[in-house]
Amino acid sequence: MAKNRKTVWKRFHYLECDAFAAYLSAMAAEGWHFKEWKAGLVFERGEPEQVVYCVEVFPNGSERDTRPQPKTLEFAEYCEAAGWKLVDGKGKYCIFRRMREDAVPILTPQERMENIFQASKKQESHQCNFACLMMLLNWSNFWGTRFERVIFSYFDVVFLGFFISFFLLETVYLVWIHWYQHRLKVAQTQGKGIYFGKSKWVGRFRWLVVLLTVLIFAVLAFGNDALMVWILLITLATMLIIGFLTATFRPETDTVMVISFISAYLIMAVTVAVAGGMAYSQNEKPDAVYPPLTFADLGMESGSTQVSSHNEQQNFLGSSVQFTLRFEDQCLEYKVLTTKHDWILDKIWNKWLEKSDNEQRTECSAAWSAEHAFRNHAGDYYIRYDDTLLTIRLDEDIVLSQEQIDTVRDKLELE
Amino acid sequence: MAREELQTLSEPMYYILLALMQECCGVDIMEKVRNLSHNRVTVGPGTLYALLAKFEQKGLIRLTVAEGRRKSYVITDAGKDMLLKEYHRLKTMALDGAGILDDEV
Repeated sequence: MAKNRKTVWKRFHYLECDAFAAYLSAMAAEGWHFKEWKAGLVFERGEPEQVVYCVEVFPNGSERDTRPQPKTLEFAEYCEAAGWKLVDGKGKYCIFRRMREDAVPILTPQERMENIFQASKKQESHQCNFACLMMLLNWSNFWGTRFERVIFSYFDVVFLGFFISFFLLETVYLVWIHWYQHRLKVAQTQGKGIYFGKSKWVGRFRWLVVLLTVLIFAVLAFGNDALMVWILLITLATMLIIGFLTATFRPETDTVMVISFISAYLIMAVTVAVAGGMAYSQNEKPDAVYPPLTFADLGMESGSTQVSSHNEQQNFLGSSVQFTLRFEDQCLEYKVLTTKHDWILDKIWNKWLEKSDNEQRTECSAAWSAEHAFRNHAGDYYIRYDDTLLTIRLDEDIVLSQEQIDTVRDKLELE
Repeated sequence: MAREELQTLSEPMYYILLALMQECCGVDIMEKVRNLSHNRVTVGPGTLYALLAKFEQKGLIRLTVAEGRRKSYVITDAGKDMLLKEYHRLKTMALDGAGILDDEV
């Protein structure tokens, strides 16, 4: 038996509202009449009919509206008196069906263009602001002392790249909308009719965003950051499921707000829990890793040492390895940063210099056969080679002998 | 929509205010404007809805009755002043043109 109801998964941008209306009319001509707008466009089978639809952008609507709200229904009363019946609506969209041949156009072409572009610009501005905020938040990780912690993190660098690209894409798109509006305004003043049809640029922009999202998953997967891929997949899946459910069951706007906040909170909680679990599991089994340099190598004790923290990162910019070892009340901490990029070495090295600026430094470049090396009053060594930086921290009163220095260089494979 | 923050009135604005010299339900204004202008001026529902909100916000009209979604409005003293000002402006313009343009017609 033929289906009498079907859902079509088609999306139209505000700038494509005439194409939207034309699509609904074409469906009606085939005998499929638009009934409601849930997660998709719902059509019911009927007699093929020539129906004129009009898709308008209602400025007082909200993007969160899953169904026509009281203000939209009030507006619809005016339209009904003029010969247009509201079939359904979502966000700022209102879909009208013409009831009389002499129906008065709902808006003048100028007002219509103003509403469409105002809504489009507002929508894209929100996305652009979000992209900008996320870009700055990610960027802030690369400021100050956190720089050396994140510059070799695959996730942080890829994410920063993603949000910079997303922000640039949104900005270009917003500029394009302004330019398009200007072009149409000029055409309108020349008396040309304006038709908001299917736009190839809107379509291309959508695909670029999808492509960018797929790319970030691919890059993270390629970088063996499986955990982050899972966190992102869970976040994305949660957002899609919540979006689908709210679109299907169409709760009131206030409820959508509450659901949005709860889901954002849940996503954050899951992310923190997963990240925390990851940190805990790493702390649970640090002994499973074998530090390249131990107390025993320095001839400071012969028993086994405890690895209290360990972190390794690697991306296309370079790598970092950090170990903290403890034996009784003694501590040995070292970090090796390797990169071919001088600007990264300079930035980290200058931070180290700044940090020990007012402290008494003991020059020891010759002992380490390094470009630069010094020991500060707290007993920390800072060493710079051609493409490697090393910081090694011991107890304050311990000064490494030449033999110990040679052992460190040998064990850590320094030049 | 608004001409220089309502310094002068567009044709739809003028006729909507004229229609509201007597209390009228919002949705009936379209018909009233058509009658007042002898079918010369038609105001679209979207235009009317936006203008009523603008006029109410500027204090040119006020809400008199709200029964569910049906709302009635009437012009305020400020609205009447503006309408009269526009009427005199149009009348003056017509008179100024009369001596010159009547011969052309």
